[in-house]
Amino acid sequence: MGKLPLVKLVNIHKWFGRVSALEGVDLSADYNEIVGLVGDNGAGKSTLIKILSGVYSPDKGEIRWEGKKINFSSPKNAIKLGIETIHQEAALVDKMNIMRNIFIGREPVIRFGPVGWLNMKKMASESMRALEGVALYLRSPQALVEELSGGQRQGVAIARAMYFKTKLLVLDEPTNNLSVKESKRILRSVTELKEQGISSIFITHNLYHVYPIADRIVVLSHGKKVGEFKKEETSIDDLTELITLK
Amino acid sequence: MLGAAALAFYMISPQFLSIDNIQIVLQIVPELGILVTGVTLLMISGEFDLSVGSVFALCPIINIMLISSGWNVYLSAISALIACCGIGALNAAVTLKLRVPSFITTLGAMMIWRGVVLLITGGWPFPFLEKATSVKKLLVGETGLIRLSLIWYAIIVLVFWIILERSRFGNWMFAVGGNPRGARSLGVNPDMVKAVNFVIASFLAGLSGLIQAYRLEAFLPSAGAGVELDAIASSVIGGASLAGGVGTVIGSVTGAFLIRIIDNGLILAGAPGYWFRVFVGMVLIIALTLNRIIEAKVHKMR
Amino acid sequence: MRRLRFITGLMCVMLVVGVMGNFAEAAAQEKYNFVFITQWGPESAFSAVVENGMKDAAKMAGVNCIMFRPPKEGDLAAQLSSFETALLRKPDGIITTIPHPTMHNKVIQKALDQGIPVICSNTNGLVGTGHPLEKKIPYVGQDLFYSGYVLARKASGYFSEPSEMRALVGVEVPGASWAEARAGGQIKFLEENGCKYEKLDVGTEMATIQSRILAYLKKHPETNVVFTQGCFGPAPSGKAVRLAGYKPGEVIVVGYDIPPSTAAEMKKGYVTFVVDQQPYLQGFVPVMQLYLMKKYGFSTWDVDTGLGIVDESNVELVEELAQKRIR
Repeated sequence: MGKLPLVKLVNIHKWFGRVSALEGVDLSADYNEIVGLVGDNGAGKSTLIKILSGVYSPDKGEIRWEGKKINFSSPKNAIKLGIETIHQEAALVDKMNIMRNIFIGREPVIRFGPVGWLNMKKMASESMRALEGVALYLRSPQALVEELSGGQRQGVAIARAMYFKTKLLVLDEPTNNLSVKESKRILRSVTELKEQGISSIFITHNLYHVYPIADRIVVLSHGKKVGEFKKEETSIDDLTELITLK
Repeated sequence: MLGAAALAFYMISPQFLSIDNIQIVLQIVPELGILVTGVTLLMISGEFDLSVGSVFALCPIINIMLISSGWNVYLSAISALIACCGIGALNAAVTLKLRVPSFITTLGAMMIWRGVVLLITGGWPFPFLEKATSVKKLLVGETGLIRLSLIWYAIIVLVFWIILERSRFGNWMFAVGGNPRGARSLGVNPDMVKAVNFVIASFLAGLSGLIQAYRLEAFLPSAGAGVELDAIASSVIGGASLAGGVGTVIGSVTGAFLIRIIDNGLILAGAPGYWFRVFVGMVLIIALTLNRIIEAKVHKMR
Repeated sequence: MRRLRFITGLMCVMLVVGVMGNFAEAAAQEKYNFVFITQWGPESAFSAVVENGMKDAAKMAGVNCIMFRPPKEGDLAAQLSSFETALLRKPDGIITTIPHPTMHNKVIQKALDQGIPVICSNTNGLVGTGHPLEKKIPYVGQDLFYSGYVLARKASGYFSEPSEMRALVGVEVPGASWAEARAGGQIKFLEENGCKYEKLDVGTEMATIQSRILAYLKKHPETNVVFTQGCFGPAPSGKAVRLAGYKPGEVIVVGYDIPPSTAAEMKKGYVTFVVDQQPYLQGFVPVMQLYLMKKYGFSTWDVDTGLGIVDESNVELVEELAQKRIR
């Protein structure tokens, strides 16, 4: 892969009113890499990720994608470039069924003159395919999302991200409310994605989840980067100490 | 539920299902139904419009004002409808740009536009003008079992059903209503979707107001007062959720029919006017309870 | 599913039972069935008196009469469709208000064509339109314009010269035919006598009426007579006069109808007199007329119910009757 990283955030500053959420943070991810982003609550991890996915724009600093300077004005831009984000508050609509959820914003249509009808058949078959891609075997794509368990919902969100030919997957606390088995499945999917050429940035405050699969780990505290290590250079204990340091 | 109510009314008064009575009902349902469609769509996207009653009255008033000033009758009708779209856009702008809850924005709009109606008319109903008869034919149609207004209603229902259930935009509506932040993070623009629905709601409200004004050949400044609550009740009876993200166009049709049938049936049965509110309230609660029960059953089955 | 059916069934039963009373009673005996179709909402206290008169007459004559009200006060579209629906029950006679100059004509004609007699009560929007129906339908109610004229004329009796009057003509519902007609009569008298006057939209809620009249009085202290058109006008007008600091009788307050609030102010001296349109009669007389028409083939006649003057001399008697919903 190229010498340039896939994505590079340089010197990011973000204020909310007079509160500084991020101060001069750099973050990068290479091709075929899993980066863990850790830190205690309030460290600024979610904010940084929202900047990367186009929900917020940085007050200072720049973002480079595949070497080129990029400006996200909306999540649509990020998605078009190939950045898929699994947010903490899952971007799933409870009362809609699985296949509609998967295709929000990117619905396949059949053009009939000037009219675009939803291609329901394609949505159904493709969504099943996407689910199988994360080993999620559900009965029907017409099931409502609210009927699924927490782990299954995360599975759907990941299936969605994978299906759309992402280059970068950003996961914000994906294992938070999951059972042990479900967490393992998520971690396995992320690892498989790396083999398929999709990089991930994995945010969590659970070091035991991220440490095994990450290539590199970045530590944030109070809006600043306080450490960046290759996995081999550190251990869970070291990281814990760093995070809890005032 | 519709069937049960119809059956009950029939048992009390056989005339309920007579051709004459059906004709009466079919005549008045589109006027509520078209408006309810708009309100339901907006509710699905997660917003409310309480100003529909005032728009219902304002649109025909604008129309007749233009006609009296010498405008072409068709042009004035179209202009009045465009004005309604403008009102919808205004509702959208205040709600979405100024971040005022739509309940409050449209409550204010309701009062403002009703006031405008009174200002323009001075409370006097406008007299119907002969040359407007051609528009009446177009909007309302000849007397009979199936008037043209019913056909328009059917067309509107069909069009919006397609948009809601079978188009991208419809998917966006459900997404935006069910999880606006989530939808935004997936690249859907909730503001745009809601704005369009505000405009649709006002447009349909104006259209139904026009239809009623033409059918009655009376442009009343008091038209549509209170209809916003009937509309919300109809939507909810038809399955829409006040929280957004849930609802169907067919449901809104059911709700509109039910509300009108209750009134009609009560008169045929000889019940004095006080019963209407009692019944609508009962029906609303029963409908919601039934919805809950059905949902619970479905959950258990899975 | 069982619970579903149970609830639906329960609802049907409730419906049937709740309404069976009315229907059964009507079908059981061979009585005449009349209907009274109005635009008053269920909360209208005024309509309650009318209905009382209607019910008493129905009892005396041995007929059935039901009053229909739209769910919302003043909903004319609903009134029309109740009229049409009521026709399907083939009533023996119809009493109706006509609050609009043209809207009701078609449906009234339909009733007449079906051989059902129609009497107009309380509000007759056809007055002055020249429509052929105007002559065909008898009217039982107050002659609005004339009553306004009489009101102003009587008020002028409290001054040494009619032209001394500086009047505030309060209109609760600008543009409503009944309000404009009454005000029109008052204005006619005022203009005939060269009085200065001003017309004002005072609103329909008592609180609003009071505050607007108070504001006006403060700005125009030369005002010495206040007219209002609706049944809730005189009481807040009297209160406004009191709050403006006047002593009883310094400003003449006159208007229509005698609900308890008005009677109270009248006893305090702040409402001078009112014209009672005698709503009880507006319910009572038409029922009697229909009965006589059906039974003996009598013709009908117009009845002006609206010239009962109520002032300090008879307010207590009237108040007593008002408690019984007779006045």
